[in-house]
Amino acid sequence: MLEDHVIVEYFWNRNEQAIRESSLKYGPLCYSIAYNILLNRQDSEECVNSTWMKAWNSIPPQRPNKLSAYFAKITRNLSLNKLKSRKAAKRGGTDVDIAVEELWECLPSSFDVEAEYQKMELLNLINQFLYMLPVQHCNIFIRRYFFVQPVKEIARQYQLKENHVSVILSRIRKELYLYLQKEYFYDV
Amino acid sequence: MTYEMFEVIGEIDDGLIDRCLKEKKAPRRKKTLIWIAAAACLCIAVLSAVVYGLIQGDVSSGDDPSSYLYRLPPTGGDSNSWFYEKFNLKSSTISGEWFDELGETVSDWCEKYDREKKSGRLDTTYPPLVKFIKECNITKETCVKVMEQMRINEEMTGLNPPIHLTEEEINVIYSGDIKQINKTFVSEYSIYANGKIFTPEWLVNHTAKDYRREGITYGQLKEKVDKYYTRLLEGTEEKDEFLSVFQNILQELSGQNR
Repeated sequence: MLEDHVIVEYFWNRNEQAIRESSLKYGPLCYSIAYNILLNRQDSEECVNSTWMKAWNSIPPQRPNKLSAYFAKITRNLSLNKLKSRKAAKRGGTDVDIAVEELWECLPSSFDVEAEYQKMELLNLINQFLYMLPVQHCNIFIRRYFFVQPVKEIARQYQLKENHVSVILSRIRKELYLYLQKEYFYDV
Repeated sequence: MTYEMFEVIGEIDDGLIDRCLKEKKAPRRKKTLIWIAAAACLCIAVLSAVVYGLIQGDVSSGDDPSSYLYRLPPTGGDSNSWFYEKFNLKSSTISGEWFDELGETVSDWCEKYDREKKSGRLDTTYPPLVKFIKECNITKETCVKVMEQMRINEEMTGLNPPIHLTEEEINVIYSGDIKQINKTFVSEYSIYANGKIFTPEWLVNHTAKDYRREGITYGQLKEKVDKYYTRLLEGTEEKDEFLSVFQNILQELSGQNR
């Protein structure tokens, strides 16, 4: 498979090979993210296709350093948007809803994440917190709340019991809550 | 409020995501049915890998595709890129069940396949799945077992169209008869005639005389051209040129083969 910088050059040169190579290299990753969120094959494929189109429209001017993360974020956002529109009338039950519920306990009530500057502040703090975690715990957190992988699947990947993964996640959420509370109040 | 939190996590540092993706996973110890997404991933990875390895025309025709005048028109991404293939979906898929059965053998073979493709040494005589079965010396018994597992998983997950092999298709693979293999696994955009497969790229780069020599009929071409009309991106010059070539060939063929 081609190196990322070559694929980015294809995008910059408006060469359609960019989409083919992206699909070849990152199609599985994007599909799994979309599928974790949407649990629907057709919708997931649509989101993956839309990912390439969105990348095509945004590179240039953008020049992503890590294509995997770049595509992953696009797919995640597109999938969440699709999920929102699909569930406008009906909520509850998907793995996203469960993940969202789990995150409820992380956020101190003083945060107003609808305010843009607080959103940025929150993002910075979460990044700092994640970099401080042991790598495996950090990755488990990212798999659960970024890639929306079911706990069962994470447990299988790490050869751990489901319950063990749940305990790790619960502990991280509590630590995140304390970290946000401490850092946020300290800064303010 | 927590939904926004969930969205904020979607913007975490690229380095964190990259590190997570590069993490070496623990080896698998047992089979499980809870790998649906992972299996789908593996399917798509191999699908993608094989599709793009097969777009260089039809080796069975003995041509050098680099000398072709016409290039295939743009198709706009994943779903339409199947337009370029020589073989159909099921014969181009190494699904997750193979991994469950054979473990690292599968990923090793996929890596080898990828290397051959990159170096231009990929032999596309056989469909990828047949190549895999031959090169990894998979017994028919194992193949039947894996296909049965695929069938069960497809039923459970509602995957459509199903891509497990039927008993008849397995028999064709193990017969080793390349003509039968081509006939059974030809893609919906390519034409099978007299034991060979002719891809859209071959078709657009040859004349009615070549078609007659190879035994391709007006009806066969007409059926494919109708499909090309619906599957290619609208409004591109390449599409117009591509289809007009076929109109001329159809006109020439219509006198004799219709």
